[in-house]
Amino acid sequence: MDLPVSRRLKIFFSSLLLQASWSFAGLQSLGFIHSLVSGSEKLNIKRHCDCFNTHPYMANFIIGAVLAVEEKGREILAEHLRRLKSALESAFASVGDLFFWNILRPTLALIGVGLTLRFGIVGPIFFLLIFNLIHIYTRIKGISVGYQKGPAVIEILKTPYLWRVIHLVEVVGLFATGFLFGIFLPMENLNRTIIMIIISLAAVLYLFHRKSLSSLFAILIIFIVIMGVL
Amino acid sequence: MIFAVSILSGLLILDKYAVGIFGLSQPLGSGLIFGFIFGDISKSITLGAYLQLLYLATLPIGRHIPPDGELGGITGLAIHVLYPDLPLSIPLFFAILTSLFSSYTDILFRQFNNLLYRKGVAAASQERVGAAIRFHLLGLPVAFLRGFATVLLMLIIVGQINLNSIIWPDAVTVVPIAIGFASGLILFFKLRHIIYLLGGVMLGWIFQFLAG
Repeated sequence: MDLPVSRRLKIFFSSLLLQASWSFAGLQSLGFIHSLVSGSEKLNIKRHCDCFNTHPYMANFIIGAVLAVEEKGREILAEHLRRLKSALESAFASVGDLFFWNILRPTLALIGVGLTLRFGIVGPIFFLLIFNLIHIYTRIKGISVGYQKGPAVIEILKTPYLWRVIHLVEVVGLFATGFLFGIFLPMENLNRTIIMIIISLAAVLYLFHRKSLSSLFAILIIFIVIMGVL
Repeated sequence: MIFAVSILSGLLILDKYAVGIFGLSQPLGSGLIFGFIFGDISKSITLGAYLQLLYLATLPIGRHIPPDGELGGITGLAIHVLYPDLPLSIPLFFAILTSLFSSYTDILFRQFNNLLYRKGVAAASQERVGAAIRFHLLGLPVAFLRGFATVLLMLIIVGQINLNSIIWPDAVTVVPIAIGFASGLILFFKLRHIIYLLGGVMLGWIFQFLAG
């Protein structure tokens, strides 16, 4: 059984505002309540006032699952519901962070940058189109899958297909990194080539050891001024 | 014009986390929108592409707060459309600067949302659903205000001081590509995949050679 289209649409649009009031105290809590009440007006929202935090694109799997539990098994204890949400939040957050933030977005951005610098407007359109197709599909599909599977929705994270896709995108990202460096290494200007290689290697070493992009950026600001004055 | 650019910046920064997260606040997306609205689309998307490389790996690594790549990129693009005669290295410089201090203003503004959360949860626990949602949606003007105020401040500063003589002109091409390459390695590199990296570099060189 699936949710009616009108309810799915309401959940989808409210889930776009999931993080509107993101706070350190409640994280996405109010956004989660907003999405839940968009899907079911008869819900006891007092049971959902605790902290909620997951990957914003994956939240709809949990919203669908919680709605299914609330509607199909009203006798469920608040404590069981809290444990279920907690388990789903962290599992979907870690896969969402890995796939969307660490792999998909940087990979599409790298390809988009390459296309922009060579072919102009094609680059940003490619980036926005592909990225949005994937994440909007995930969000829409997540509501139905969550509602149909209920607490068993976590099983979709174990499918080998998902991990094959993650691996493939990761390889494409590494290839795009090399391609970008190869295509924009200024071969005609030896000085700039050497400076570019030195900055790249220094940045890699720095990030591996210090793991702080902020301090690297602070160093870059000083470096840009020193090079400008010289 | 300065207010129009700041308002657009405030609207774009909503996409960072508050509304949708469609990638419009990423420098590539913002470059397209700034260029489309304020003209000079080619230069705006080029600057957007360079800024995107800079902020490729702005993910929370360890316990450090990452630079705010979205607001940094938007600020750089706003400076470019308002002062199009400045060399692109100036918006790049201010983009890096803004991304550094904006990560802290982001924390400050989100702390204000704690108040909205407490009031929203109080309303929800009394089953006043409408009031809880209103407190939730009040987070939108808070996010907008941060982007608007930051960009307005930076545009005023850039209008007052001339840094042309002390900013490295080549920074706009050399630094983002170097940082983009380093970020790509940090994100994707595994020794068993080195063949894909080398293949990419080789193909890039061939492409560069063929393109002349």
